[in-house]
Amino acid sequence: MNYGKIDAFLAAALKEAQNPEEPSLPVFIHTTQAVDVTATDFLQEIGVKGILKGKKIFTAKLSPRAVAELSQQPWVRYVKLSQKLRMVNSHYEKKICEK
Amino acid sequence: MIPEKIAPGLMVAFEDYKDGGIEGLAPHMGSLGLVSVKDSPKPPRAVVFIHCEETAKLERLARKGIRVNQTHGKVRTAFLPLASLGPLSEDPAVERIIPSRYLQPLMDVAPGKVHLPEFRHNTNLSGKGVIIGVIDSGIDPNHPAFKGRILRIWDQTLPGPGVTEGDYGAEFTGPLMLISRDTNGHGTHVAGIAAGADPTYGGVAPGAELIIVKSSFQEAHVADGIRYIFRVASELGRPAVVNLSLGGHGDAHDGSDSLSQIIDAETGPGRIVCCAAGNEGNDNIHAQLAVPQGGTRTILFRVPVSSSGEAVRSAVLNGWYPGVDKFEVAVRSPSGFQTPYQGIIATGLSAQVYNLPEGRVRISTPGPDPINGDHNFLIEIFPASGSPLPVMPGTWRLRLHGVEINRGQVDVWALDDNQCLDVVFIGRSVQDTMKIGSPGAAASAITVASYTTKVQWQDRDGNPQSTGMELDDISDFSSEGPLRDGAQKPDVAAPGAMIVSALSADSSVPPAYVVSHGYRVMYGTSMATPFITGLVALLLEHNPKLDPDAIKALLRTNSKIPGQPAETFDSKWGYGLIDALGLCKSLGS
Repeated sequence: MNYGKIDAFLAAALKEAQNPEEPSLPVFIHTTQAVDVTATDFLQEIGVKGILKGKKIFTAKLSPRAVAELSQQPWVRYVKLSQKLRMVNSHYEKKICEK
Repeated sequence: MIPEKIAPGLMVAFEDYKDGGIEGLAPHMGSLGLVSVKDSPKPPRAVVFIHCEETAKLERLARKGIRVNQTHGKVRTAFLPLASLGPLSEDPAVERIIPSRYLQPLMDVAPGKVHLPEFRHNTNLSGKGVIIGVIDSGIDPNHPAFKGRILRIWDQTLPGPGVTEGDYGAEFTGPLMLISRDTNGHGTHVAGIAAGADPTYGGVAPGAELIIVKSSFQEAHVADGIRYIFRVASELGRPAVVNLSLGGHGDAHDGSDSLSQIIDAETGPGRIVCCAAGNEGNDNIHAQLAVPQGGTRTILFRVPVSSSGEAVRSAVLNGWYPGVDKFEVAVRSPSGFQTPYQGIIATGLSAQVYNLPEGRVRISTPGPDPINGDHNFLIEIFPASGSPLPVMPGTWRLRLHGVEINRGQVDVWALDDNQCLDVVFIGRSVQDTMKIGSPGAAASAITVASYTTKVQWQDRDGNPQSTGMELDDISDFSSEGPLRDGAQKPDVAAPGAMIVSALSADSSVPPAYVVSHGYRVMYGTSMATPFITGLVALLLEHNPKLDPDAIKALLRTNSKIPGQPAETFDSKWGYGLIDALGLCKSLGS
């Protein structure tokens, strides 16, 4: 694992991961440049879809082991854990309702 | 009765009621705050303003069936049977009775406040030929406001083979779209504001067609959704604008996060993304502190006590500071137990766990972020190992020690645990700035603040409802910019409170928020954003090649903060409330 390419949230998730083979980590993969054939093959092998020409950021759901392998690739710049967003009304509305 | 105290319009309505009963009220129903359901056994009622002395005691009016909503104030609102108008006028404390003309459906009011009707009249634009993409909680495909205009739904939450952009979820077209349901209702409401077709509550671009992504709200899936919408729109040869009424704070607040970077990469001529600024204007979710070389400073944050059975499952903080600085961080519990200081761990796993009697603390301190070059740390506090209790309520402390300081400023955000109980900062480090996170931080996104055009409405049962917000002002809940790197956000303000729009039949809604069959009221920057999304659709119909910079320039020059010179930026307002009439002139119509 190249920990220099792992963001804080992914590091925290890896610390807790129980099964190294389970694809439980939704991630963004940042590459140093548009991917070539070798990189494309690698990404497809770990389950990345929609690898289109010119793109430098990809999404995938990976296992801890796949994250480790990915982080070792020279063309990988950064791997970041995808986070859960939320709608920007309901939280406030809920607060109002409780008051 | 003392007619001199009663406004003429209300007096005429009362006389017509006396002469013609409920039928006699018909001409007045559209303009006054009158409530009369033909088939209801209840007598007709009215919502009025009462002018009186600041401290007048009006509680006695309840005996006459008159409900006064406030106990203080020179102008109060009241709800009364129309027959009680006489006794009300005879009360010596009552100086004047004015009918409530404000109980108009909001979408009659919000568009008018930004001159949208004039824009439509002058330009004849409706969004025809433009795709509006909505990534949200889904849509009610049966709602008449969208009839025949939903092209596709990618439901990311259902099992299926997925689409080109991701092998998950199921894509539906035609009658099969009915399989996907919006049980939350947020997405249906948002889509209605952008593109709903209805004579009363219609949206901004009722001629546009819709591509819907029912999202899991996972950032990566939202990114896939953006690419999906733009890909399909491109295949159809149409311009598209994507609405993102969603957000979070687990990012650097400078637009360097993955989702923002993807938005910047995917947008361009005829490809626009609109994002909500966020609703944390009243919440102390941001702290800022300067730490000197060798010094130690403390940021206080509060884990609330549960009052309704809910409990805080985790407290999460994310701090960012310049790459030229180095900090050590530690966490201290309410009772004074403290983790060791943890410095940057550039090699090896940066996450370490510390067990305190009052909670399990995980601290992650990686090396510099490869995208923006800055350092960040992540603090997560969970219930103590093996404890069934929630995170210990009380005042916790984040301790920061300056190891190598060149600038010394650190910004920390408290991340929502998706419940009502918030972990917030307290004390002097609290800052009412930099509360716009991803994806609103994306440089190319049009980031929208909320302006309040309505504070009172009438629910389906005829009950008056209200909020404490300031009318005709920027909404207090609307999140403030700028970004952490100083970039100007939000971009523009639009009506976001209170907004009436489409109600999903599959959602559960408190009765107070339902205004009529198929329509409900909601508020938030979630609602302001689709207003601008709809407006962008109109602009794209006029010129399908407009890019984010061109649209931002149009919005900037046609927005205004009241009392400020044109093109003045404010971290709460952006460049101000949009004025569609000005836009109209800019288009030469």
